[in-house]
Amino acid sequence: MPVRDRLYISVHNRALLEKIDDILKPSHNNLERKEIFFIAMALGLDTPEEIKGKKDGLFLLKNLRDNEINLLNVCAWHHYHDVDILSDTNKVFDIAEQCANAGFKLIELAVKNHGESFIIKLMTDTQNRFK
Amino acid sequence: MRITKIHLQNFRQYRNCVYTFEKRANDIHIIVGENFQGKSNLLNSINWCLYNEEPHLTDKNKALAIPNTNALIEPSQDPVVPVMVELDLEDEGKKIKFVRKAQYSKQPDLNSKYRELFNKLIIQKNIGRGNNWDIIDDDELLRFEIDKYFPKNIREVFFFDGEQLSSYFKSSSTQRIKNNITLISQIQILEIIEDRLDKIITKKNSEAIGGSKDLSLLEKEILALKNSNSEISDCLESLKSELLEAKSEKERLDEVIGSIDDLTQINDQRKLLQKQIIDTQVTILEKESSLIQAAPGYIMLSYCHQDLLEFQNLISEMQKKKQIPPRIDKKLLEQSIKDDKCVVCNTKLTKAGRENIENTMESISISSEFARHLNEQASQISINLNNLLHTKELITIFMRDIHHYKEIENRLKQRLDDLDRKISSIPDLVYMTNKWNKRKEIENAIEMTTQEIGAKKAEYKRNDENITMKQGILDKELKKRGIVESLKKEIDFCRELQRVVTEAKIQLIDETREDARKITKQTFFSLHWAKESYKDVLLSENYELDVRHKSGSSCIGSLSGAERALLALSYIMAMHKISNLNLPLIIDTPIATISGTNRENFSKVLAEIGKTKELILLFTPAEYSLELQSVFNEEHATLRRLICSNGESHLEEY
Repeated sequence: MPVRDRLYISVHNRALLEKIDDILKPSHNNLERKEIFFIAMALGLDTPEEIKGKKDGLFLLKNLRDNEINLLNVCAWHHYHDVDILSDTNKVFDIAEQCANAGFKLIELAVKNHGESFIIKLMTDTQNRFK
Repeated sequence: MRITKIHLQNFRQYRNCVYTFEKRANDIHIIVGENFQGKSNLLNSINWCLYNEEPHLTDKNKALAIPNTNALIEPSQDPVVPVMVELDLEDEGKKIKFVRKAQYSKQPDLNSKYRELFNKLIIQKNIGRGNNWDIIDDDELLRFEIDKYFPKNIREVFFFDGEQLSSYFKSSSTQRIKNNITLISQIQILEIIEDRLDKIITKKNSEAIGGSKDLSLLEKEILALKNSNSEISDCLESLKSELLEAKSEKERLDEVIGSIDDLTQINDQRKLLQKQIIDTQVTILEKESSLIQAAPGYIMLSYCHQDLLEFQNLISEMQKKKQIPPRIDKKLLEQSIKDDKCVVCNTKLTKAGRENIENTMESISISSEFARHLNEQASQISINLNNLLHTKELITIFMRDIHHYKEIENRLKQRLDDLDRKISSIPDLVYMTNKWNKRKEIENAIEMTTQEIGAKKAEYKRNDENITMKQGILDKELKKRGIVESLKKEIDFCRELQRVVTEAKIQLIDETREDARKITKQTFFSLHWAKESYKDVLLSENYELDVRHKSGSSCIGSLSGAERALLALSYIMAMHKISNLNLPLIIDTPIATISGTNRENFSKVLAEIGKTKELILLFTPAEYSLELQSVFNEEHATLRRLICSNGESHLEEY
């Protein structure tokens, strides 16, 4: 199996990303695509969901910093509890994408309910959860 | 002296109207008329007749020509309208008529003005020789006669608008009192002597100096300094007058403004608050933006925190158990085999060392890549855990700051709301704001004028010291050079005379001022309806009139409108008495600014004055209430109603 060069999301989530761009644009508080992906991955860490339907490339792996790759690995370890999983990068990326796929739904809900302050809402929820 | 008749022809509302003032037991004459019927124009007609001026014109009348409007538009053969005011007086058996006649063109000019073609005052005097009247029409003599009977400079002490009474002793009054007292003191002749002596001294000094250039220069310097001080004195007088006027204007504005807060300040505060709110909102946005930038890292690291710790522990355990080999550089090992010496310590390889290196190279070829990966992960986990700590701190700071600035924003908005509520409760905001702005301007002007006065006084003092010093040098030099003894005696005599004249002048003014104070006090206390509240009336060297409460405190500022009017009237009576001008008093709307029971009190005072002096009072029907009618019922000599119909005023029995 060839080694992948990018991470994917469901095509469905492309609209959500554009919506986030739109609502944050007036306040100049833009978020990078990969930042949103990692938030989604964190939110869906415990509930990965396979991406059904068409996938869309989100960002190139070469653009990830080492500590971000580490988070992908930690996500994989969370699910497999086996260090050997790290040697199977495709599996690492798959599970990260599945977690993000679940997390995007939570982000979508937050955007719907809180508009431009969705990120603050997610942050305060995180604070409450990990007090 | 009494006014016996005023005859008006074509003067403003008056087409042809004769006021007669017959004396009975009392000499009070009451004229009652609504506004715009001609009451104030009766005062104007007297001023016009005597001085060719109309100081009591309403804004409406200022736009109109003097001739009666009906007379101007009435069709007739005559191309001009004659205007006449005749003022008949009686003075110790003598009869005097002041008659001013004028003619106006009936045809308006290009500016729609009716041109004055002729204007002349004449005085007719009958000094008890049957029907023989002396006619005076020479300008110089006319001025003399007017100054004798109605000195223009103090005209305000014999006819005035009643509304002035209660505001008579506002700050600008000090200049007025000073002028009155200076005029009544009749020091003009002394001032002329002073001036003349100064000129004589200068001339004598020049004679004494003779041809000496040095002394001549010194004298010129002294003269220049004296001239400079004379200019400074004039300037100071003018500045003081400006200052008083400004203070008076400020007081007038204060009355209009009342208890309304400083709107200029409120508007400045509003602007400042609005700016502060915007600044705070910008700061909040900046903090929120920083928070949003930190939020993704915080969220993902928080969710992964537990796993990061567990993963870190696992790697650490593996390292302890030597399950992860230490990191070895394979290239260095290959180089050492190739060079047959250790590239680290540069010693030749032993056989055992070579075998050891070859064995190591064999083992790391299997596991080093994964070990490197795990070690790298351990290092990145540390970085991520540190990032989480740092982000948590940042978020705490940002959130605390945002909370803090939002509280500030709320407080600022609250203050702005309070100000807006205050402003919205002001009935005529634009008008009041203008008044406050005007007040600020006047306050600044007062400050600047006060500073200027201080500077001028200092300059005057410096000049004065210089004059004394230079005069001393001049005297010494003249003595040294042995000037003619007789000339020196003359100069000394003139100087002594000048000093005596100056002292006499000051003394006369002081005496007049003290007389004015005493008589004002006497009249005020004899006429006041609640005199027991007060102890004294003072008139300072600066001509500031004050009333002392029985407790000793100054209370001129807290006198009621009626009391202020009474004080003004008492002062005017004092002026009449000191000036030896037994003048009538004509007051337009005397109780206009007096309210409640004090109207009756003040009317009783007027009735009392009417026993010794001719008093012509002009009331509106509203002022001339039943209470006032009962006061004047037995006291008035004449009582008439003034009515203006079809643009013409006439008198009726009341």
